[in-house]
Amino acid sequence: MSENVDILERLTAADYQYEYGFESQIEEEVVAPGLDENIIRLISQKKGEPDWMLQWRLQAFRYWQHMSEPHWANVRYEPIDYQAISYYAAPKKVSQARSLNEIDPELRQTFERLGIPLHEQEVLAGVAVDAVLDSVSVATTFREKLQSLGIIFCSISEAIREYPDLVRTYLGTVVPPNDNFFAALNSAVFTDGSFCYVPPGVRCPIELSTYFRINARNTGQFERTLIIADEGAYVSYLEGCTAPMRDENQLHAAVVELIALKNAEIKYSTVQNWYPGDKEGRGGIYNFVTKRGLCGGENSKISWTQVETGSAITWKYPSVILKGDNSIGEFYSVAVTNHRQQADTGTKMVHVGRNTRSRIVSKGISAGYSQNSYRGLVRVNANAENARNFSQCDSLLIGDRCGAHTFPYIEVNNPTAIVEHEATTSKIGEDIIFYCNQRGLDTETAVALIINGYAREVLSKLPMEFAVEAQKLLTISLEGSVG
Amino acid sequence: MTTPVSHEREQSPLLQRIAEDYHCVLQHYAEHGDPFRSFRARAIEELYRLGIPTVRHEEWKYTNLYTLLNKGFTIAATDVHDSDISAITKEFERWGHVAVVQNGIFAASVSEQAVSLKEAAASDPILLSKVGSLATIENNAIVAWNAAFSSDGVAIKQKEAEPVEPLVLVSVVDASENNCMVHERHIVDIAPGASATLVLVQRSRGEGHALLNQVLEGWIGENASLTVLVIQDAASNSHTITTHEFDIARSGRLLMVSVSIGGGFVRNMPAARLSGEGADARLYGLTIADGTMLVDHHTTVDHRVPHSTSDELYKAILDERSTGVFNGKIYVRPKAQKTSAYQANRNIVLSPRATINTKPQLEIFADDVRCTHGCTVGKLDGEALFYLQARGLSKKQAEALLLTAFAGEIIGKIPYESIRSEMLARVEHLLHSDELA
Amino acid sequence: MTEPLLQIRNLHASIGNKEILRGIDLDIFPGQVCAIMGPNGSGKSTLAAVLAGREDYQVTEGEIIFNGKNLLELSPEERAREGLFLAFQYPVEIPGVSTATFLKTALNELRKHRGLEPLDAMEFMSLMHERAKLVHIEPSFFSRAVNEGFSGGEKKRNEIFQLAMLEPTLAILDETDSGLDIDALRIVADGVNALRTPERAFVVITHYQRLLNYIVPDIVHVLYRGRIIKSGAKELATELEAQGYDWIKETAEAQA
Repeated sequence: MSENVDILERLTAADYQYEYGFESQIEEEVVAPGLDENIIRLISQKKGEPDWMLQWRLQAFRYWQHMSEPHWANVRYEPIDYQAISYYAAPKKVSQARSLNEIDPELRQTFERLGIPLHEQEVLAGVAVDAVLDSVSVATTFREKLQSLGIIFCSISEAIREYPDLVRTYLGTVVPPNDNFFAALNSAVFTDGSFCYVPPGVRCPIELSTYFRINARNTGQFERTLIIADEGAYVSYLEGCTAPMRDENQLHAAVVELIALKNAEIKYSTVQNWYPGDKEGRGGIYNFVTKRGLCGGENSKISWTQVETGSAITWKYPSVILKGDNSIGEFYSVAVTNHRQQADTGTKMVHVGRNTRSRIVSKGISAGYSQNSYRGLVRVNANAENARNFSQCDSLLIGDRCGAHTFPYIEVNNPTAIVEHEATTSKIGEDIIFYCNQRGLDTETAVALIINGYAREVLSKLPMEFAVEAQKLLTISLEGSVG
Repeated sequence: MTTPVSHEREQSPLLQRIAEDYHCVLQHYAEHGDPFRSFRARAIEELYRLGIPTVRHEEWKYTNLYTLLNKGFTIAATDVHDSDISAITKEFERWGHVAVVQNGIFAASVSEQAVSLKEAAASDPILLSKVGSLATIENNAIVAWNAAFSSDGVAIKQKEAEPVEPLVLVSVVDASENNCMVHERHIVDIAPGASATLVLVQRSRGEGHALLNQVLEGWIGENASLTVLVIQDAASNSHTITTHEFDIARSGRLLMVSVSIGGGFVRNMPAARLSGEGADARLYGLTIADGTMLVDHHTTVDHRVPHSTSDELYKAILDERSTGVFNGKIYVRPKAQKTSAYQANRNIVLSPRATINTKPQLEIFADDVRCTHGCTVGKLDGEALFYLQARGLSKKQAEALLLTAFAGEIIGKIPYESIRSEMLARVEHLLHSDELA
Repeated sequence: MTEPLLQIRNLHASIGNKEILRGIDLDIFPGQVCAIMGPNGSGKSTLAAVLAGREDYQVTEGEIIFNGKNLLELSPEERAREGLFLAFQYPVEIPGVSTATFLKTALNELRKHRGLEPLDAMEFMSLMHERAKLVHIEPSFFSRAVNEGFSGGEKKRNEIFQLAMLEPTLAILDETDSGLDIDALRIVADGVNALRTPERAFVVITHYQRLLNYIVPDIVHVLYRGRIIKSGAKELATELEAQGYDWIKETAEAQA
């Protein structure tokens, strides 16, 4: 609580600019732009993958070739030339690193500047980190400790080599390679990402975290994350991301799959802070991401929490398929857009099993010339007896040149379902600002305070370390929007 | 969202059929004088460009037009039988002055306010220029289809400030020989300060399937007021697609109440454009569906200027294998500060085989606004049911009573006592609460 | 007597085209409790709003000197930092923002203005606990969002609690008694009385005399149609209560 105030004080005073916009001079190996089967073979070979993985990728590529880019989202951008993107970039010195001490110092410094120390002794207490730079995982901390509990936490490339059976059993089962255009592209060319398996009955004692960083030019980042909580297991997972400031747009097309078996719980939190482009909308990341969780077993639970402040364009719908009876899906989101940013984000809750519950809380904040859309689906299948959903989607507008849009889809095929959706759109009340002014707060501080209050229900779902970071981001993302 | 462009004329048998029909009617219309000729030509081109929307089209995602159109419809014979117009007039005169349009052709009117659109447009270039200016053909296949084929309808001009009796507009589709589709078009013009009430009903003749594609464009002048009651209670072989679009000037008011308790396939697309400060639109709808009935309300409320207000409430009770669809769009344009918009959609599903798809939608570009939408899908309130049972009612009775109360909120919006009590009685009958006493 | 804390000279203010304050002259001295009474629509709350700097009102004529500064040139937050506090008639709800966060932000802004170091979390918490007792506020209250879901009485108590925390030199209580039952009224009044100091002045705006039984004013002004038409000692309030505003209206109209 007191942290809020300090952060607000500090940040409302600072003349903010995107603080992660630096570029690291790391020797990288970048393959020539373009996409064909040879590139996919090259990626697979560089990663020393087994043949089944290569075949899986090639199949995805063939799907992709017959698919077209989706344009139903409420976003506008110049066509993407998929042949102009480089599909593989890797820091040269990382591949041989066997321990954290062997990491290229420049690389280590990069992550330190981002506040992600890779020395275990300095790591935030209680968080294990997998750091991904451009296409490859550079370091994973706390591995031994986790291994003693039987928890596997490593890069997905390593998992493919070391735990092929687990990967084969689950990869693509929640987001099939032909699910959508971007998922197919990811399945064909993904270069790294995180893998986590928590064995039956184990509660992962620390937060697991992946930090994604795009560094190289003209590259796309296509990471793939797969998290499995076996029966009765629990894991809380955090994802953070940044990128250098560049005039060109860069594509980020990730796939995240979560699988919760019987009585298992997965909590997945994201603070998304990819470079959003400058005030005129030049540059920035295209964040086209497919995230989906499967509550496969009875009494399982998947909870998505996201704070979205970055990216030029966000296209993202973390979803839950509630297959197990009594399973629970949750989605908590704060999406902030400023300047020329565009966000089309929301969730899908698909009720399949009996007595399934879902809850959606979405808080959109639009400022500047930005466009912010909530798009959500709640579907109750015919056999989903006693399904319950509650959705609350609020939008806040700051200034009269931005837009807030709400597109909820509700499909109910069972008479026992209870579905409630509420949405409001409004601006910050002048009476509230005046009240704050009367207590001595200037308008900018008042707005920062009000926005953090508005988002509190979502922020309170984040692990502590991230909540502070997220509050800070909310405030700075809106800097200069109050006139 | 843009409409996918498809030149499907060659591939689609439906468009081929439409092209043949078009050729026939064009010939026929030309022989009888056709004030809409050039408009018609543009419309058919747009229809060919767009094709008939499939479920891949966002606006038709939940409503498959092809299940209806695959029944095969012929364009109505344009010759009018006037045998039972007087019977129809008699049936509805209890509600007000009756005007009858038969197979898309103006047939009779007992009111001076309502005249043949075709005849009026032929001698009134201002009226002619209004046709298609509100419900435009661009990117709208249904309106384009109507514009290509409709030849007549009713023109209503209301100049009086004093409210007159409601005008009951009855659309008759003759399906006695085969499945028949009719396109009709109406223009309503309410002068500043005037007020009027319009009741829209549909009747079909014969055993075949009857499909009405109705387009109505209405202008509500400054301080004027229009009430539109849409009573959809036809038999299950009657199908309806309506496009009712209104422009509301400063301090003008629109009240629209739709009661959809009959028909097979019903798709309503009411739209209110609030283009003057202080304009107010109220759209209410009740659906009670059973069998395989489908009722789809696609509403649009477009706030274009500051200080306008809107209120929407749509309710549905769905039984057996029926389907309910609601899509409510609220637009608040960049200049439309101080807009107040409210929209609610409440649904009760009674049967495991019934479906409800709802998609309320807010698109807001102004910041000083208050817009709220809410929607619920559920069953009857268990507490209330128990309360009534504790007072000695059977479960069936308690349900009937609560459903009637749920539906009654919409019926209560009908401002005419005689029509309201008649509709309430019919709703009670449908929900079996009339058997309680 | 010392210099006035607040001087109002020939104040005219309007909302839209409607003039509400039509020439107010008023001096308020340090330590004074000044009651402003008047029938509905006489301009009492407008006076409070103009003093606090609400933008809906335009000052068309006159001047206000507060602590030697031209109040009308200051923004609402600068007025607050100078020591002017308004207890709102209708306190707003601020969803999600806890009372503690809100007050800590506000208090440290004030301290910054006064050249004081910000309070750290511990100092701030102990201050909150101490001041909360004045108006019988439970510590659980601190983590609740400002006024959200509060009863009418809780909202009014929260206003006085904020007053106690922010320690202004001039506190304006705008119909603080409205909507309070007798017990709550007593709590609020006790809180205010405990906060009286030789430096701090209070302006108590009220329609009824009953609050003034508990917060005894040094002087009573009667506002009618945007002007002060009568001033007197505390007995004036009792007189008004007994005879009603018609009596004073007639006098005023006879004079006009």
